[in-house]
Amino acid sequence: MKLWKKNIWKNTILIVFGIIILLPFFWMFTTSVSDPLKIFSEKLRFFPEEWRWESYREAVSKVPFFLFMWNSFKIAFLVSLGQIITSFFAGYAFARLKFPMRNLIFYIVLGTLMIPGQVTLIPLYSIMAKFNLINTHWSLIIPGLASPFGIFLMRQYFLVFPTELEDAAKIDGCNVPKFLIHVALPSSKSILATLGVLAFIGSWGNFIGPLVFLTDLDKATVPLGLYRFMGSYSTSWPELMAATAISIIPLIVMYIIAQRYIIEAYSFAGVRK
Amino acid sequence: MGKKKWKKSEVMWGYFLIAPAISIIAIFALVPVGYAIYYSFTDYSLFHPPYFIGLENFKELFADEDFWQVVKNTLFYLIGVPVGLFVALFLASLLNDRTLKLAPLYRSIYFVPVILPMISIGAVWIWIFNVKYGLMNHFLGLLGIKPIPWLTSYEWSKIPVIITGIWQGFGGSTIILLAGMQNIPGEVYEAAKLDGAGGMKMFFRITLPLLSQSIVVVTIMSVIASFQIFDLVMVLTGGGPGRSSASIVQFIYEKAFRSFEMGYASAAAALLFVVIFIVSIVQLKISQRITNY
Repeated sequence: MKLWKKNIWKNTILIVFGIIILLPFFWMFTTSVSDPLKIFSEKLRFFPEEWRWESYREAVSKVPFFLFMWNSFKIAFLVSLGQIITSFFAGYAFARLKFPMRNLIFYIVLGTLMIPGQVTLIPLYSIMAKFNLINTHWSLIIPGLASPFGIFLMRQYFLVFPTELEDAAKIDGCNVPKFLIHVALPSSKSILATLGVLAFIGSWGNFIGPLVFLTDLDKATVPLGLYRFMGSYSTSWPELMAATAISIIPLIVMYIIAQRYIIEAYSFAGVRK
Repeated sequence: MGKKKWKKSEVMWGYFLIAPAISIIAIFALVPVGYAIYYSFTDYSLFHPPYFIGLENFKELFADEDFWQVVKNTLFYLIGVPVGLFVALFLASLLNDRTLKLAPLYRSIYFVPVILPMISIGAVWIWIFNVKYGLMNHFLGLLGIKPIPWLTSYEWSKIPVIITGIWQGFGGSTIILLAGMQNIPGEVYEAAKLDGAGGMKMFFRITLPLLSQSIVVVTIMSVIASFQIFDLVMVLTGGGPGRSSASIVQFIYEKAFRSFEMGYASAAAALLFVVIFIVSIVQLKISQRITNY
């Protein structure tokens, strides 16, 4: 009884914060299905009188939103795939193989975690200009193909990876590539998925990179496209909210599917630092 | 010095496997840092190659009123850090309860904004902060408060950025702190209970000290994020009105890619880097001292 009462006030507070998180999304949605003229009323209306999906159609016809999504998807997908591969290899090597300067190189890699992206942005721009990659998606993909955090994560993983498995594989005449592909890869699927999802989210949300590197509107990613859409004078609130809803749907779907991994990885990142 | 014996095949595979990751990081992170430092001592724009001018950029920066304005604004944004930390601590301690059946659901909901693009979040909040028809002023109106010109007045423009930032980030901090709390062995609390310690006392005497590591991590992460604030400012206020909400990173971006003073912008970026570096070192030292006592 006492426990039940205690949990009542706890639940109340926690629900209030839940509402604080969800209300903006709800408000975004109701605005997006409202009549552009009717939202300008002094009375607060949480449900529109009639649902109007027009704004979604208008938003995607004014700017190529599906193209933005494809651009973002392409970049984020290649970045996560690249990070999975490079981190898997490097993490294994740093954890399990002995070679000269191994620790020094690893600490330098870790050190790059401290470098804020804005510091390298200007030199990165000159590098990309030199390679003629400005205004191409490669300028966003190539630098993202490896990540110090991914290497760190995979090294931690391989440090506690059972040695028996590796020894047994070696006795069976397994060499390094065979071991990696046939033994290590199948058993590290879930950590690699986690890493991939994190990389995907990071790449999808990146704003300053596309803002600096991409000039053509049809090359824009979702955040950049949304930003440009906001800046155009003919955008109405329902259209902007519709566009925003479209921009977050892929991530929400991904979150619902991979939520456990995402949260775990996030708390890992926090506890381990 | 003992001679280490390297296995030839291991050495070969080692270098081979780290090569892809290391070359990317070297070319696109390490080399650029070197260049960034070099550029900060040069006069450099897209239209002419960099030439060395010593400390001129830094001298000019310290005399630049606009630079001081964005530094002041960025420091102001730090207000969000303790507020967010407090909210997260409060929520994490509520969620750290095995009898709470819905805890995982709350946790998942709080975390949603953490994964979303800042630009999308900003787009929603710019509408919420709309002076006439926004949700915020509607609610304040219910309390009898007159509409506040959140995004268009010099006095208020930084507040929406802070509020949106806290809303976006507290779920992430909550999860890190909650993970830290769940790492505290239950026996510690059992022992304290036997000694007759109450809930409040246990929180301040056991939870907080044992959680210091996670608190430091959350603080570092939020301070650094706050120093680097850019997306939210760009989308909510564009730095305005005037320069009342412009941030350091926005200053760097505008100098480098709008007026193409890349050397000057690099100098500002180098200062930002030094500050972030010092903050991380100081906070790491604090956390070491805490864990060693």
